Amino acid sequence: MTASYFDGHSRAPLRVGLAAVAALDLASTAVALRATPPGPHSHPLAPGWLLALGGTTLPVLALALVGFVGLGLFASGRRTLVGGFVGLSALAFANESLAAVWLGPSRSHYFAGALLLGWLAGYAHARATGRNHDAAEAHAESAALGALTAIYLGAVSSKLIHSGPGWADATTLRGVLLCHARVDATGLGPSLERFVVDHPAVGRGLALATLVVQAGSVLLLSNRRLRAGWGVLLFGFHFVVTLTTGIGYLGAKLLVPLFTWPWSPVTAARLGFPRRVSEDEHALDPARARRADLVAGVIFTCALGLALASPLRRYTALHHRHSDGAASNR
Amino acid sequence: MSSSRLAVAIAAAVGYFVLSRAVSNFYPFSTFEMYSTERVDSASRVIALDEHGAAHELDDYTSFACPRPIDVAYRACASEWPFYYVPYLDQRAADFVSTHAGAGDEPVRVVRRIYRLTDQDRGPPPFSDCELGACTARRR
Repeated sequence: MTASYFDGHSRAPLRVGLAAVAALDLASTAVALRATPPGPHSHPLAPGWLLALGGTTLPVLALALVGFVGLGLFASGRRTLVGGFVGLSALAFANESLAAVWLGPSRSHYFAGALLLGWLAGYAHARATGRNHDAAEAHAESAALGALTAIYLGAVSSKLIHSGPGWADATTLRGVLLCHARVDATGLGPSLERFVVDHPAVGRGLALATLVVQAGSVLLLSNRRLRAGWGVLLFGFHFVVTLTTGIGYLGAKLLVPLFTWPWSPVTAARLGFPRRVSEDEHALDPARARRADLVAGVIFTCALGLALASPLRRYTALHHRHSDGAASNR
Repeated sequence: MSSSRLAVAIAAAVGYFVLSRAVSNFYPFSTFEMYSTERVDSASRVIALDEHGAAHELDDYTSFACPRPIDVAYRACASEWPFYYVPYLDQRAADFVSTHAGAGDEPVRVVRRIYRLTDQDRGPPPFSDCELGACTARRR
């Protein structure tokens, strides 16, 4: 990552924007959770405390308020780590609770959480190495972009692992569109959907474009011009998906432009954010930096070990596939 | 400075990717495997047919009176199996009918419309309708 459009500028617009999208996700999840009591479609292995929130008002409201306060502190920049951790925890609890009560996770809400986690990890690591707040936020931006890249690489690798390059055939994408298409809809989106369904070659082309755009997300970690350009393609991908299927992914459509397009410094200046910040790295202690790297490695290894050794995967494998398409004929 | 930030970005990307593979889907880690696990050449959607056979979405109606709950399990259309379906969309359709129980003015058939796709044939794909329930409903 050679440069960011925010170099030399406050990254507060990124932090505030990320907090705002996360708060929107939390509100949306809370509303859905309040309206969904546990029932026959709930996860059979979900613990009672995770299901208990479903269909309740005051507990869901309390969880949301705690999350909003945390995200507010994160956005303010004064309690980045504590506020971000509280906000992320509230998001995690709300999302896993909703996934437990009804048919699995809503992946559209994962973007804000993933980028928030990346931001917090990058910021914490940078502060542990002795960097100041502004330099740490530069690293936080980099880590958040890394998380964003990993999301799309995860999506494309899932397609290639499960279905191979043949996923980009002439029927799979058209089948997905038909499952989502309203039979009586009119307008630009339905017209586009019908055009794709009626033309196998177009379906194949769009499916291939999906693989290319998702795989090309590695370019988000290159120079800022390529990042901005690929951000346009990723936004376009989500826009076409929404147009043809109604699947929203609002978080992605807000966060991709926020983190990749070159709008922010100008707007930030107009909104009164500091124009010049110091990201001085010359005084770093190499030994301290090595210790921070070691701690980060230990934390990651422990997290991976916990994930592999715990019954978590059995839990997620059992239920979290119910939201996907099922039972094909190939 | 730039090389350390690139290292941080790559480490974050690898860390998120690996942990997502390890847990599958646990907030905020996900492999985003939606619609990736199968290659399909069919599709299906639960809709309503009015007395003239015209197709409508279920939310074009405000209430339904059905003799039995709508069963959207794939076994309800065993004669048409195999076909592709999206479970949460089907469950949402069944839930809509059950939560909008009430009076009905006109006969409707709740069906699973099953489309068959080919690699070559252009134009609207052929379909068949598998009846899931005969109800009366009130149009919006």
